[in-house]
Amino acid sequence: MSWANEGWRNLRRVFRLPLTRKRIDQEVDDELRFHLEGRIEELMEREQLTRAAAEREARKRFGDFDAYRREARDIDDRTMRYRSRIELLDTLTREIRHSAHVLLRTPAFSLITFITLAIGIGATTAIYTVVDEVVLRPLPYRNADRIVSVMHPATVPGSGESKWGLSQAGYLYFKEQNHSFEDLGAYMTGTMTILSDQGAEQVRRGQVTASLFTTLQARAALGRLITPQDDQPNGPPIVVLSYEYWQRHFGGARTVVGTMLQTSGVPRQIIGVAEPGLSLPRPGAFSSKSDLAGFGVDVWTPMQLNPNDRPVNSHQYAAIGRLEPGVTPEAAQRDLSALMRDFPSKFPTAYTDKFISQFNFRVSVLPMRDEVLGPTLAKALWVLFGAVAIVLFIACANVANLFLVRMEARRRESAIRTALGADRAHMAIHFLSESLLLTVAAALAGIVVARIGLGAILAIAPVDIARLSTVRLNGMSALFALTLALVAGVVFGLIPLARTAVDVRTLREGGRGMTASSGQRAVRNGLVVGQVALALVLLAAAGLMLRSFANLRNVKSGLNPAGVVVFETSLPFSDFKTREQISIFQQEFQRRVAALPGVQRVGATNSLPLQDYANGCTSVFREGRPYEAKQEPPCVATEWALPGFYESLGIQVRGRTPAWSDVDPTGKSRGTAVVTKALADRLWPNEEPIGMGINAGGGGGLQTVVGVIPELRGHGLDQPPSEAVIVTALSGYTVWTVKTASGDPSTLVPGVRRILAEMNPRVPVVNARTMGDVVARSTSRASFIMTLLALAGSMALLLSALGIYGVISYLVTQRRSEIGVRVALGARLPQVAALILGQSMRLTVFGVVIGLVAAVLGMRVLGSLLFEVSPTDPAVLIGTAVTLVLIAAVASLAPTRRAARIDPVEAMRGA
Amino acid sequence: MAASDLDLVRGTLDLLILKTLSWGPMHGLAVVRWIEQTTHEQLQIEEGALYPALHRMEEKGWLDAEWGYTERNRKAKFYRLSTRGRKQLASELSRWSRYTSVVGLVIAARGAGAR
Repeated sequence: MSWANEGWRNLRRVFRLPLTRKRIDQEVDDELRFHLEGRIEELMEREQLTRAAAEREARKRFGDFDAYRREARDIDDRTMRYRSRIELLDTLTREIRHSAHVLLRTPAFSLITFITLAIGIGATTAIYTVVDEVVLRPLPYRNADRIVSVMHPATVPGSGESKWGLSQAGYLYFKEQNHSFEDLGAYMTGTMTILSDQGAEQVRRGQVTASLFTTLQARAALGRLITPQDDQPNGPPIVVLSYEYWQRHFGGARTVVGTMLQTSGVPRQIIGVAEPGLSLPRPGAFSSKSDLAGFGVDVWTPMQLNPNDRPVNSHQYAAIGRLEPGVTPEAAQRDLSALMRDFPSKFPTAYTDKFISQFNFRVSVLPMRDEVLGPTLAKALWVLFGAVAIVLFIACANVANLFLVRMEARRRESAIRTALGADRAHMAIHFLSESLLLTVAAALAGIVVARIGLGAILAIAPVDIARLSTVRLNGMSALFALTLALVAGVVFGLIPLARTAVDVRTLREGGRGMTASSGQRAVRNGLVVGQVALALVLLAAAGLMLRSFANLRNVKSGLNPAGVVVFETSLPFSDFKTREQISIFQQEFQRRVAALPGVQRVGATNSLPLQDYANGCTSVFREGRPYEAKQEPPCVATEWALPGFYESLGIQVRGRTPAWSDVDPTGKSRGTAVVTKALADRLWPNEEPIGMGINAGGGGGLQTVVGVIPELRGHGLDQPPSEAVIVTALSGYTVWTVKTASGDPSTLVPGVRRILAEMNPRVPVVNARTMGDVVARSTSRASFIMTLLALAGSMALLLSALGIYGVISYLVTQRRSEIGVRVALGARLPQVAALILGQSMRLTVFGVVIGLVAAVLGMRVLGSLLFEVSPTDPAVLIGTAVTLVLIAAVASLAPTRRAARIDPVEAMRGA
Repeated sequence: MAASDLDLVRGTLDLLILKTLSWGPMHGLAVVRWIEQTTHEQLQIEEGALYPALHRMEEKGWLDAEWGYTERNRKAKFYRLSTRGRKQLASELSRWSRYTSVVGLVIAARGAGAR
């Protein structure tokens, strides 16, 4: 390339390189005409020809003038284009090299800018990746945008809004009569125990209608999926394996289709293997847990609903619909709402008008994605994204300020360049290459930061956040980071350019014109004010989340998780046909576990508080006190517990706690139950509930209330105290609660396994974990959001402090001579300090005021994310404001000290 | 000159120009005059053909061009051999002499034919 440059520069030294086609044409013309003219004169002189004759002769010797001219022009045109390409490339490499050089000459500036931007871009990219993956990505089904969730919202008297699944009758009616869906499917989830040579294994089971597969447009990887023929009442016992389970347990053997799968119940014939990754969108109708990655299912079995079953008011079927093209969820909801009006007349055994009005029983059709994400998660993630975007803004404000300061320091350079004829395009390249070099480098570092940040986010992330565990940095993230960098780079690069036009004056000012114009000062101050305001908003948000979390932590759950290990067992039906068998087994198992070293108490239940507590509700009745005619029975959580449950979990019980003597496997004698105070207050206000009779579940059995739990928040720490009745009873599926000295599942579980191996090797132990873990998980969303907001808030605080420090430092440098004069005139240290601090405080307070206004207006967004704290909590807002002012004061201390140390003589001489 | 000679000239025009310019920077007309003088006007070329050749060589970087003034104070485009041009000249010269000597051998040979 060097030869080309050499030639080109030589040329340009005399005349500029012809850069337009017109100029090329002109030059070729000039050159050829010179030739002809020279010849003509020569001929006229030497051969004494007339001008006309000489011209003729010259043209004859020249040949085809136009052809040669055209040829020369084309060559030059080509050359020009080639050389301007080279020039651009050359300019770029030169500028980049120059920029790198310049940046390295001011390492402090470069490093601060680089780090600030890298962190800002990295944090934003990390959260963007999460939002992209969790909120923006479609569900993992074909044409997922038309998949909707059909549910029954209801207002349970006394315990608020809840959402139920469909009833069997309701589902079948909707499926038959609707005009909105291509297909409608239903499912339940549960477990199944599979028996093999390796022993008993509990797997996740999806019980589905055949239409569920068509609704999801699912395909089989092998064999076939469940068809309507399989899905008949009393249809064949069949099973479809999930691809993953097939791989895991059968090593992907294709011969598995047609063979029998041994379970703790009936053996089932394997008819096929589902496609890889096929999962259910939600764990079931009642679960609050949702996961965009879906609920993984190991085996699929047919629901085999019987349309002739007596309709009952039991809403356990999760339903998924696929909308007809062009039908909106709202229209489908109207369609189903109209159908629902027939329920009382069609299914009088399940629905009454009274029930529908009293429970405000409705039907909802929501895009599945919204249902899965829930109302708060998407919002929470967007809030986080907003938070990091604010951090990025603050970072950019800092960088913009640095660039402004630097630009002033380099005004002479740009002025000289302009004076020497560098055009604006050239200046733009010059400044852009510098800023882009910096921002793109920062973006690359930012991607690394995002990787680390994402790892940290995943480490503290709640397990129940959809798809979060699968989030990885991807091409989109990198693109996002680079886009941020390019935009930032162009903006920063153009800042100085906006000023070059007037800068030539700088030269005349002989270098004295180094004070900033008032306009620049305003921009810089504006940036600081904006920064402080944004930081305040962010800190206030973090503060509110912190208070929410503290409130949540202070809530008395009513149980003591310390040292408690929980795990689940389920007894195979084939071995435990009678309640007596179950009773004997459970009692013996409990006795043996209690005898393990370190174990203090052992209890059991079918539903653990704070974890999917009380799926749905059951109507309860009082002994001897029927409800008034217009009153629906309260629908409350009805759980089972074995003796030892309350003691092991440290649940306070007034009255007495049940003992094994309360358990009658024959079910003949009257059982016992414990109720929560919240329920007792509703059923027997102002009366002693102990000794009362209660019937939970509508059947014949009555239980005597033997104890009252003063407080238990089983549904979640952010929920009101649970209304629940806990019946002393047995069940095959059991969550064991073991109070131990160590609280370490890994020391307990081997002993438990040994016991089970001796008692019945077909009983699996699953899900061993600490109760502390269960409690922490129930607040993990709140703590996750809080942690990230606090992180963003502290970054904002730090960056704003840096910004204030930078601007005040610069101010001190600028007003050096003025301060010198003041000191010379007798100003004392406190006055000088007041001058500088005053300036800093003015900016900060201004920013704080704007930030407070913005916070009061904007914090409503947090609304549902907060727990028992007002979005405009004065303590948080005032605390944040004071913090910011203090930090600003600290940030201005060093520059103030510098100002106070200014030697007047030196300062004035220097000026 | 005869049209039949033109092809020969065109093949060697680059060489002639390079060699001419090796004596110093010249404008196009001066190149033509130099060739005329040194060949005693035995080798005349169609003058216009010179310019595409000059521009092409400029494009290739063998020549540098710049506008300057003649002794008569006229604006003219001067060409000068670049470093690359010098190298090119050297290689063309050796190629030419190899070529002529080979051709010479053939021409000078006697008694060719089947034996």
